[in-house]
Amino acid sequence: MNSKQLEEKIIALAYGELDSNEIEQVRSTIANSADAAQLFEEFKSCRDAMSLLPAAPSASLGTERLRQRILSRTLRRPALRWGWAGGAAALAASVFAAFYFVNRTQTSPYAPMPVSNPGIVADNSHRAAPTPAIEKTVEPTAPIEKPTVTKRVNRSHRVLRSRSEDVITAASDSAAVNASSLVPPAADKGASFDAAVATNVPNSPNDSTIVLISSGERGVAGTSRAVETDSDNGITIGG
Amino acid sequence: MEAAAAATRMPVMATDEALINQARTGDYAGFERLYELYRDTVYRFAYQMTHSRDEAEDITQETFVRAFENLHRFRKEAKFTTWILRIATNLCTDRARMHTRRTALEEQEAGGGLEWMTIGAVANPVEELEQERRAGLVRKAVNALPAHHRTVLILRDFEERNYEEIAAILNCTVGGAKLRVLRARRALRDRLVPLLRDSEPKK
Repeated sequence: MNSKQLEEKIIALAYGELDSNEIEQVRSTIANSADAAQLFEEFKSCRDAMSLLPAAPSASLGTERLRQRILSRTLRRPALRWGWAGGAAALAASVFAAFYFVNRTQTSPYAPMPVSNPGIVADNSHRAAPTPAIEKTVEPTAPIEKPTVTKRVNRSHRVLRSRSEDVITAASDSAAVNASSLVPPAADKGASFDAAVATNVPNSPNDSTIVLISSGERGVAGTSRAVETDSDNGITIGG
Repeated sequence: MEAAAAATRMPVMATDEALINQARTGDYAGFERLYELYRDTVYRFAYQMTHSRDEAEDITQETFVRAFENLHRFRKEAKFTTWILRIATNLCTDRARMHTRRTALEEQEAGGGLEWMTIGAVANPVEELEQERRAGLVRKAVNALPAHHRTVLILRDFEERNYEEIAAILNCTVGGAKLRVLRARRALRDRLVPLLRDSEPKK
């Protein structure tokens, strides 16, 4: 008999569940082992302690109360069932409505009719002719001349155009460039000014003075510079 | 009232099966008689599981309501007490898991108040106080057990039900029921013995 089996026998003895032919054997083991005796005493005290648990106090368990409870439960059930049915009906209706809406938009008068046999050509003459697409004509506000790209710079640089009083001529290269007064050009939005950083677009096609203001390479702070470029002569000043 | 009168008119030797059949055919008096026969059994068990009179009453009522609702599922090979105690066990386990901490706290507070109120009414106040203290420790240890251990301990060591019945209530084999009881007793000893040891006056 190993220790686990012995423990089970001791517990059974303490709770009075041991077979009569095993009682003497376990009792002799307990008498010869202090550990076994302590284990037996602990489980016996637990068994005795269970009898200390208080008896249940008298309760008011009238039959009328039970009847009321059963009645309230049975009366509530049909309402609950109808509630579920209503919810399910609402869900089904919403799914149907969504499906119908999607189906309707897919079979619009402009959509081609599905033809199962490729040899049969669908007669769409009864359908309304599709509205011709409106061509968008965008008139440029000013002639745009693509400036000579002197250096490829980062795309993060902003394209700005100065007002007419801020135009810097090639001759006045020492004049300070007021970068804060530059405004973005309306007509230059679609132009490929990927190299230019800041520029004042000429007011007239003959005015070839362009100012490029670079804020430096991406990620490098404090390296702003001004570049003046004469597109006709290919002159670049500054940098 | 009519149902109670009908219940008294019923033959005393009416078996559970006859009462169940009567209830199944729609005669509520049969079910009411079953309730009168077994409500105390369920209430006692529920009280030991929850240690709260109100909660035990509620569980008892709910057990019979569920039994009434599921009467058609009752199989005749099982005993009605076993079946009803299984419903009660499930309800108690669910509630015990939810309210273990709250119930223990309320019991401690209520127990303390009760000691002061009843101390003057007993013959031997010192002995009574000692017994109350030990009972409080046992209650504390039992409350600290997980619900599944508590259930089998109450069924076996408090209600003194046999292992076959416990197996039927827990829906397991007899061997499984014995093993559960053994584990629960070990768990109780692990909690109760240190409490009793600490509470004894040091020499």
